[in-house]
Amino acid sequence: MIGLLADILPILIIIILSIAVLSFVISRYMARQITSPINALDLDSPFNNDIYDELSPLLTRIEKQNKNIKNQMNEITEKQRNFNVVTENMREGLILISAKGNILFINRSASKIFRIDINKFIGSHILTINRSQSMHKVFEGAMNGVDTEDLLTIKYKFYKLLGSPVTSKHESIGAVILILDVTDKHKAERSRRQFTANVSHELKTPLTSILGFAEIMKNGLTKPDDMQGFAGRIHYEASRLLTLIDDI
Amino acid sequence: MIYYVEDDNNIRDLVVYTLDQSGFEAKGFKSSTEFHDASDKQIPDLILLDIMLPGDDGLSILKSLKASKKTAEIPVIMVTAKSTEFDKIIGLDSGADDYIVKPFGVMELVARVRALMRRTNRISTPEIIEEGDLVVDREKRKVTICDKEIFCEFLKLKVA
Repeated sequence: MIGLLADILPILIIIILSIAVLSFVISRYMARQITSPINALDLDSPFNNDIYDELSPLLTRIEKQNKNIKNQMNEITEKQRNFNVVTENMREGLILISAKGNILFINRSASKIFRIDINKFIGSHILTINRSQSMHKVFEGAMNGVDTEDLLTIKYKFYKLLGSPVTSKHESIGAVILILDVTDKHKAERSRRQFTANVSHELKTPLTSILGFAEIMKNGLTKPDDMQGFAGRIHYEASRLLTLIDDI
Repeated sequence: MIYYVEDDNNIRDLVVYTLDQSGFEAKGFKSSTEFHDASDKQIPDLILLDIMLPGDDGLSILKSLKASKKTAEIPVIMVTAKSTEFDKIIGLDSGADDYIVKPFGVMELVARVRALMRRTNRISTPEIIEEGDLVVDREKRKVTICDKEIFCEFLKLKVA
């Protein structure tokens, strides 16, 4: 009995091994038969595949998702293009800075205002493009979550700096700095002030006489005989004042 | 004697008249040339200067006064419509003793003239005049007759 078993055992083992190997090979082959069409699927255009009907719901979903992704990509590209068109053509300078104060974006106007090469300054700290006190103030203010503005002078030109914080979920994630050229406004303001100063000087001269004569008359400093003459002078100067006002 | 340089006739007359009425002697000039001619003949005790004048302006007159030994010590008050802090600093730093801005109170101007005269010892103060029962205290602006005070207006006090 034991001798018989000893005779069969090697054959048995060989048979078992052969079956194992055979079944492995067959199953690999069969699995590949099933998965190869799946692997060969063209996911970019799911409906162009000739495959099991069972997979068609999955393919429909993939197709839908593909469309979504495409739409979103288009939208993003469109937005990016719009942003570029707006920021590159706007007269105002625009700088976006990160929470660390590094420059994320500078538009063309800003680079012209600060006379810098955009590419060299992307990623560097905002204060490397301008170290003025006003820039410092606006930057610090915006970083602390407060809208801040200040006036900046560069080569006889006047700019208004407007700093605004960028927040997400109540947390500061950066800032936007807008640079407006207010040179014309500033000049107009200055000439207006000059005009006002001239006008006020012109008005003060007759007023000095009017007030002065009235004052000495009131205080009894005038001789009675002079009263009429002084009243005449007051009248004359008041008329002059009126002419001046009409001429403004 | 007080000299006043001012190109506006009415303001000039006003100030000269009021100074006269307040017991000073004053003369007005409408330009620097007139003023220089007069001060060559008689050196004044005090000068009032407008800044914006035809020809040499008040600041140039001031500088020429301060440059000459003969006139450097004369007290000067600027009387002008230039009213900014910067103008005042320029005026005072150029050697003016006081700076009055138009339109000014005439009484204040007279008081400032008197104060400057007092400070530079150009009028003797205080003064008490006694004429029998009549006592005129010029410092306190008080007139008493037989130890009884009577109200006295500015003009009348000057006559006294």
